Amino acid sequence: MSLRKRLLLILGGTFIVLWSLAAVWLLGDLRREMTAALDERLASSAHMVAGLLEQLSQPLPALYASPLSASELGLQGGLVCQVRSLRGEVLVRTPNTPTAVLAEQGVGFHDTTVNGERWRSYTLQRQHLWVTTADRLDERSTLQSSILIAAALPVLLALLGSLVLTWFGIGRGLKPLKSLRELLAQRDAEDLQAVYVEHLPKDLQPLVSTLNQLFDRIAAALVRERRFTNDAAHELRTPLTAVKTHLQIAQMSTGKVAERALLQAETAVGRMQKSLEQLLLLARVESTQDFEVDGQISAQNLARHALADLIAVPGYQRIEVINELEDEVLVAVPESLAVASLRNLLDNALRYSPAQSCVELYIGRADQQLLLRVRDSGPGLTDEDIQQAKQRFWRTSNKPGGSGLGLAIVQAVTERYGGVLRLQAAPTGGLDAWLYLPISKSSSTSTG
Amino acid sequence: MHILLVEDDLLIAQGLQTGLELQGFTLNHMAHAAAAEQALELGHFDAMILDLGLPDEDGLQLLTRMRQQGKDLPVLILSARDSVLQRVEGLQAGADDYLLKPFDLRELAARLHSLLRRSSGRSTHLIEHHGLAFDPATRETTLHGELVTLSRREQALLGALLQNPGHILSAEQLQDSLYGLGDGVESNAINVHIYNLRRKLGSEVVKTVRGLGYRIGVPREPA
Repeated sequence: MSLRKRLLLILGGTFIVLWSLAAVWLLGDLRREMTAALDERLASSAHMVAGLLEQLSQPLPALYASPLSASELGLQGGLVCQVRSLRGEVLVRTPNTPTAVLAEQGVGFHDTTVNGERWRSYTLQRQHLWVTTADRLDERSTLQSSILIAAALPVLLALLGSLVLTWFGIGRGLKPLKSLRELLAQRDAEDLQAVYVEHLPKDLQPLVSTLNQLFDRIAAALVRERRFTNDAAHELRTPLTAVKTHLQIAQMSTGKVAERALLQAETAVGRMQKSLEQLLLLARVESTQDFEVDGQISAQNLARHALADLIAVPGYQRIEVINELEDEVLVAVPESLAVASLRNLLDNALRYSPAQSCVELYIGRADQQLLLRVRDSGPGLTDEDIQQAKQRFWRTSNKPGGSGLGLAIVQAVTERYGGVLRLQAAPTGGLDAWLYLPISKSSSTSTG
Repeated sequence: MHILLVEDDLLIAQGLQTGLELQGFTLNHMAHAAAAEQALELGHFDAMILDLGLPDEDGLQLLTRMRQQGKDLPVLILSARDSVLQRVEGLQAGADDYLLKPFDLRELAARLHSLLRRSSGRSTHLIEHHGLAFDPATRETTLHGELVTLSRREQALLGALLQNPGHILSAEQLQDSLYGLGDGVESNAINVHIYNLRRKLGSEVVKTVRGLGYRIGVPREPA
């Protein structure tokens, strides 16, 4: 249901209920007042007739029972009157008065039914006469209903009019909302420009500004996403280009040149495979995909596996391990991710430090978490670099070659499983990477 | 044809160098924008292959700066950035062509030839000069309709002279075109190739301008 219809229903419903209650109250009052006024008329007419009769010098003869017209008695239309002697003889009556005796009940107001017609009568005793005036109750009710209609019709019309005006008024009041709706409906799904509506009421301003903030955020996310796709494309196309180029050279040439080209193509394939694996790993960590197949791994085995993965990397022997854990500690991170994280840190340390320098791996506990700290004595990173180093596809400008995803993967793992990756400059120069990983509750809690 | 290759990825650079040299080009490879800029100051190049993701600077910045300095060297951008916007940006920055990675070596060579052809204002690959015809793409040389067999260096030397008709090219410039920058080749190596060209195409085909260098002359009359 549209907002306009809804408002109209609420407002119109309220009008109708309130006006009806007021009308019932008013009309009830009106009816009482009318009855009182008509009764008063009966009474005063009776007194008037009695006064007239008193002025007659002699008492009315019984013979004089011929009807007197109402105007002769000075009575208004609809009223009837009869005068009786105390003995019950009808002395005078208006022509339309039923012959049956009205108001035998005595003095005062009475409702009677004579010949199936209901009457309201007033009887008064003056000396030796009874004067009774009466009017028909159905005439009274006809009068009442015509008064009711006269009173109710304008109210009803006003009510309808106010409903119509409310409908247009609501439409006018909701105009900014309507123009906002039209503006949004016209927009391209791709359009993330801020919305601007003229004469925006105060109530809608927060809505529109929230909307605009949302647009901003989505636009920024899209830019990030696009950059990621571009970077990923670059990351895969570069080795692919090398593969293709060298394979073509191998086709074009013979002998040593062809052999060398094939070797180069193989190197490029290796690099591409590594990039692809890192990308897939990152995508898996960042998605909500489960790593349930992976078992949990102890910190000691984690270090062992990560080191074993690096055997082929030149300078592997430079890694010096300092283990401060005494008992077995289970890491609450899937095995493959924990191993990949540590391997990436060690790989970076080996890659970016001088050939003869030492890379230190410290394994210990800190704040109920496992701490893996990798320190090298390479050129390190500037503060600015450290800010950016965890971003996807970031690499140092002085020694390219990595996929630019190593630290991004570690960061994604810590974000997903509740660890922390802290990078800082080592006091001795080089980079000092602190990787905190959560410990599984099932492992022993004594400090290592 | 002497090409400056600016590419930070060593594997690709090696591939391009070998692949294009097999197709008759002479290449110098630079991995950084700064080095490329230096090379442009030092030597003469016929065209430049530019990668955009350089470690020290974006390739587009280098290109924009080159164009601002008035260098009109044909530039072919070689990039993995594939969106239309990026290609448009590249071309607007002053590139003459844009080739997406991965590419085909033969297509790259053909595009380079087209660039060179356009930059010297010709409508076909074939360079004709007094009955001498040289096709840089196929590297075929004919004199008055007859095929002449030239070595790779001789082809490069003839190409360099024919592409700059009327210009006097110094021995260093010719040497760069044949061997690339700073190869440390004895300058009389050029003389050997000039001698061979004169022997095959007529003694007046390469004119020596004393103290300045060489320019293309008139080949032998048909027999």
